Amino acid sequence: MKTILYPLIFISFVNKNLAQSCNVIELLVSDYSVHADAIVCSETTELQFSNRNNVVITKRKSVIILNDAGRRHGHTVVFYDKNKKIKKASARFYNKFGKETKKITKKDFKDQSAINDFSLYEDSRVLYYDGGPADYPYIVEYEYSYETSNTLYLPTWNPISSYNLSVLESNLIINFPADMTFNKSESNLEDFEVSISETIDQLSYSLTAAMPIKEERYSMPLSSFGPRVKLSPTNFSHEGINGEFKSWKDVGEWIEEELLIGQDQLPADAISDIKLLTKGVTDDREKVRLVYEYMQKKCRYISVQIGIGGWKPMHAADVHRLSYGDCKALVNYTKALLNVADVPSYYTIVYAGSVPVDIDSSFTSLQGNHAILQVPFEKDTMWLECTNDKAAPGYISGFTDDRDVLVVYPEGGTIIHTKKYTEVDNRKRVDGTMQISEDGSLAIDAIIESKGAQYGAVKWLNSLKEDEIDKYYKNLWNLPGVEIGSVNFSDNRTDELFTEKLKMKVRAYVQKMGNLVMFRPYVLRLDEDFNTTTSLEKKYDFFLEEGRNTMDEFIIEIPEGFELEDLPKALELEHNFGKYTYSCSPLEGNRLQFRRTLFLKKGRYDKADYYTYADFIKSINKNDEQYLLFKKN
Amino acid sequence: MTSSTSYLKRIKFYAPLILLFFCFTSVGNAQKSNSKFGEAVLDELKKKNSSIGPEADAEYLLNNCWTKLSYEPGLGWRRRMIIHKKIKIYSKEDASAWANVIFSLYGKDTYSSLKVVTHNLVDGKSVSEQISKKDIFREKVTEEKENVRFTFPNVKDGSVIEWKYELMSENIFSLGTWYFQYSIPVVHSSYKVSIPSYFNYQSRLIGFDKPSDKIVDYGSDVIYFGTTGSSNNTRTIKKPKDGSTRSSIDTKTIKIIYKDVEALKREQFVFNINNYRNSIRFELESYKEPNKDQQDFTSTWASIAVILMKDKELGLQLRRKAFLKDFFLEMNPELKGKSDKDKMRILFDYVRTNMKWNNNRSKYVDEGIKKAFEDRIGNSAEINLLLINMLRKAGLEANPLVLSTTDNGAIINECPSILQLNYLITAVEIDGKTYLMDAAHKYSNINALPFYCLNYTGFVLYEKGFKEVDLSSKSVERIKIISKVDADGLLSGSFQKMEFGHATIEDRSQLESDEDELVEVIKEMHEGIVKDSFEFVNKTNVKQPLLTNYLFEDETNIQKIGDRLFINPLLYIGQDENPFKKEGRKFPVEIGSSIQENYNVSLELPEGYTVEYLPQAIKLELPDNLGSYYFAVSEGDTSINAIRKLSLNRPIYSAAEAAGLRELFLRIVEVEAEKIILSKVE
Repeated sequence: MKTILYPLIFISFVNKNLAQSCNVIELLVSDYSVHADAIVCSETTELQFSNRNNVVITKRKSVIILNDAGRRHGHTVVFYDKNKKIKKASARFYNKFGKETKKITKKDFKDQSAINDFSLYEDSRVLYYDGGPADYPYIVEYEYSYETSNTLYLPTWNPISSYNLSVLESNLIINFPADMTFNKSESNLEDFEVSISETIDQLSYSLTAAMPIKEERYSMPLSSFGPRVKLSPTNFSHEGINGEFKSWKDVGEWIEEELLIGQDQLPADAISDIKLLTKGVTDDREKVRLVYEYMQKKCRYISVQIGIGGWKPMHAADVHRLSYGDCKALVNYTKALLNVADVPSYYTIVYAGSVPVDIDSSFTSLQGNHAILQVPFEKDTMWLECTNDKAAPGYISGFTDDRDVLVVYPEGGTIIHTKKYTEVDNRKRVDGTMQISEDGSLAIDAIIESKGAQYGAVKWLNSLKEDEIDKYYKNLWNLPGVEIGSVNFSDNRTDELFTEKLKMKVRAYVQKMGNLVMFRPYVLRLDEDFNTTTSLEKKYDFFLEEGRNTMDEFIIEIPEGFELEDLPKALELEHNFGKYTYSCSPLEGNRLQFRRTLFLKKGRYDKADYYTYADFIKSINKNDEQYLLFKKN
Repeated sequence: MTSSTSYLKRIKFYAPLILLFFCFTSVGNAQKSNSKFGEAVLDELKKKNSSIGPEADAEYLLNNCWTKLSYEPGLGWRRRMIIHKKIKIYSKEDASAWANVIFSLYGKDTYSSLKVVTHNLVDGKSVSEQISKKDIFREKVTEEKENVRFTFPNVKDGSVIEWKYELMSENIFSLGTWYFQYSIPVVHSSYKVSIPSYFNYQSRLIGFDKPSDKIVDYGSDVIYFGTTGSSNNTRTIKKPKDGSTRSSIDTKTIKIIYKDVEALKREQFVFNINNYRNSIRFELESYKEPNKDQQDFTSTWASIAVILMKDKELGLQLRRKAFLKDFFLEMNPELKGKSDKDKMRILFDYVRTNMKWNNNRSKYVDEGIKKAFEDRIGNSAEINLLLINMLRKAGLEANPLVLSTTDNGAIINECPSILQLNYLITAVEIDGKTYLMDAAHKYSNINALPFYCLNYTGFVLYEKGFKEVDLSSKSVERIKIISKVDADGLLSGSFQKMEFGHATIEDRSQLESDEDELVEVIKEMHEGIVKDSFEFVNKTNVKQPLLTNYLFEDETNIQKIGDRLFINPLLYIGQDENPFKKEGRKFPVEIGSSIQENYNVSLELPEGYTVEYLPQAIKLELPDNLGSYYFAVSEGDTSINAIRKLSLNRPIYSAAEAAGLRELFLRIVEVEAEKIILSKVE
């Protein structure tokens, strides 16, 4: 396709014929529309500070919607609460010739509560308009503005907000009194040639001519490589409380003083419970385990976002009385309990989720979406996830592991990195014996051990009912005609080790063709995760989110009268991202030994390596399919 | 989402002329001690697990509702419900979600007297704690809906949580649905309703189980005549001429009790699990005050048909044809001289491709078909009624068909009710054959309806009368693979799939929104097989089958062991999984469409190899023509050919027939796993 470099469009926001400068006809034949769901002609977010206690935020956007998937880019959505007042909201629609077809005013917007389902209550509402014409393309021009006295949290400028979105122009403009300073975090601006301009009372960023980015499998999340600016005033106001964040120490102090202080008083019975529980226990780690399990047994997690903009934890005495709380409350409560046991611990703020996201240490501000508890010991640190009443103490894999977090110490806040579960820790071992019968059925006796990240992935099996367990195994390995004989689970919380003991029978596992019998020795085969597509062209580095460290070892008994004709070949493959070995060798006494190991390293890899990676996976899949051949007498 | 005008508008109802007071305490049987609020019986607290389902994490001890109809001065009839529930928690870890409660208020509904208590066993005694008003939250979701939310304090293993409240609603046309069954066992659930004799309700009981008890009591009550209406009410209350201030009224009290109900678990191939959940629903059939005419509401499908056809947001829309005049002038050259079937096709295609559906499902229009046509956008009723109008103007016999979408539950024929119907499509009759179509869905076709429409039956509405028709679809898939194997075990070939009917709707929609994604999905499904030259033919032309073509190469499908090659005759398209793994299925198998799959795979053999083993042909049949399967592999000079035919002739199978399906697929999976063996010629 011909590349047409589109000239910068100069747009005046007072111009009612705005949409006409958004030249749809030309854009539709340019590269901006290739694989694009929408084209942002122009977008401006303007922050107007009168002082630290007052900011008016205005957003104007003009976007061409090209198809169904792009419609959401034309939706006007404004979240608000009692401290945020919406001053205006409007939207206009134009057809591709620039003729106005519809005008929406504030009263046409829908207004509803924005409470998360699992939440008890949140003071959150949303004003939105999500209508639009039927034919494509169409243009939406919307504008809204709100005023708030909460200046701590400002909208993040994230102009390339999704894949398949072209951006011709996007601006962030901040106007402020000359004596105000800001903490800021700027990411990937050079990669996208974002221009920055700074004067004593204005800061502005501008992105132009950005082509749509196509999503690639295994790529890092868009948020990690797209252009982004986060800002927060050094001197701010939040829910009527002033603060100053010049360093992480400041942030920690503010959290301690405004959110935590005085919230940790416990009633007498709580204190005596803990004292009794930890009586005579000298090992601090053991104390932590006892207190943590006490809290887990007693409390439930429920989300409640009230008070100081949702950041203040419930009082520990209330948590004790009601036996429930959200992450902040449960962390604060557990901390108070540990204090009674003379074990110091610290409130920690984190971004929780399966893909690690760091608290951005270059951006001195209140970040994060979750709270956990840090318990430092002499030689190492324990991190407690207080919202999960089934988690082993200290187990944080898959949620808050391997990332920078903010720990609130009495001296102030510090950024620390949480425990990382390496492939060496994330072990899975499948061991056992198998017996092939004359009739072609297979009896399996297996022990499966899961550790580290793998532990968290199977621990929930313990809560399954009998028929659910049956269903789980039948679906896991997709073996036809499976009968589960007996199942036994054991959960070792101290060592983060989960063991499954399984006895089962697979009817008609071997395939008989005449007097030849085919048998695939890798019986408990798991390969669904290794989906690889054939589009090997990558524009961005690829990211293996999960590592692997699995070992399968089985002794297989062959019945009398089965003569071994062909044995699968042994194979060993090794690369920078992993290693695979496979072998099937005869043992005396009419038996075989099957062994397979796979080690895959989690991490970020160069896009040029993707061909090799795909080859590696394909070879593994092909090799796993290998069969043994017997001749039946 | 549904019609913007409330159903209260549709049924013209005049407030009664009398005041009615109920003596709450006199109605009903003596309450058992453990169903009185606030007292947790020690036995309940000590219980270690459910006797109904010993593995259950929690169970309902009590799930009761008492509904009364009362007359409020100046306001009219009101439905008053007293709801009382008690849940026993066996495992706090796994059942804590039950301790978070939300209930909804619609329109002008109000609630009162909400009491929320947790009971725990402490030192052998029962200890209770009640929450205060400040822990009860109200959330205004939208203008029409409000949620009340609260959670129980101090929930432990063994806790009994209990709550009770009173709900007042203006809606007396339907008393709502009361569920006796949940995903946890229910020890005792009762629904009691006291109905004054002026009201005649029709009730519907659904589910696998029968009630343990059904008690009907007759009684009477006193009504007080008011002297004035409220200032808001323009309807005056007439006092009887004889000067009396009160009168007695007969009442009927029905109580339905379910005991020891098993938990209801979700299953695959069930359109809507609520169709099988033990529950009861009451809808108002008629209302008659003494000395006044009877008002009928919905009682027969025939009367519902009449009501719908007389409604200005449904049937009366069909009178509006004038605005189509210009349109028909334009269309005339295209339609002139064409057969009825062709005209139907032309107009259906026109509406389907030129009107945009705003995703609102309804049987009633919103702004009307004229406005919808002008804007080129409408809800499902507007688009289909528009088509019906056009078809009629072109001289065809076209009528609306009303149905219930799968999420709305199956229509229960024995209990006609307007509320059961929530969607409208088009039915055309030509030469005695019926053609069904939904013009709202861009990729549906004539007699190929979207999945959510395939909900057993619907009703065609005529100007006079109606007819019940089956709603089901057909799905046909034909795959042809031409391939060859070389001596190293490398497979290569071409794949062509032809889809007809129901299966095409989803795929065409997907192709329009994200073709690349569909290609990715196909590649992932047959992972490891390199594909090239993807081609989709007839992406938007619904009259023709949808074709999917591509070339492939595969190294993993064929095993080379020693001097032998092992090949699956169906290559990678065989059935490797049984969709009906579970034994002892209680529910019918609801697929929605009949299925026909015909596969033809030809495989050219490599040089120097002969066939050592060929799987046997097999034919399997289900009784009563429910379905059949045929598989055969034949050998030619230099190639092998495999044919496989599967037919499931019914869109829905009963639970008894499901066992047969399971066995059939077990055999199919076994058969299709067999391999051809080729060995090298010496």
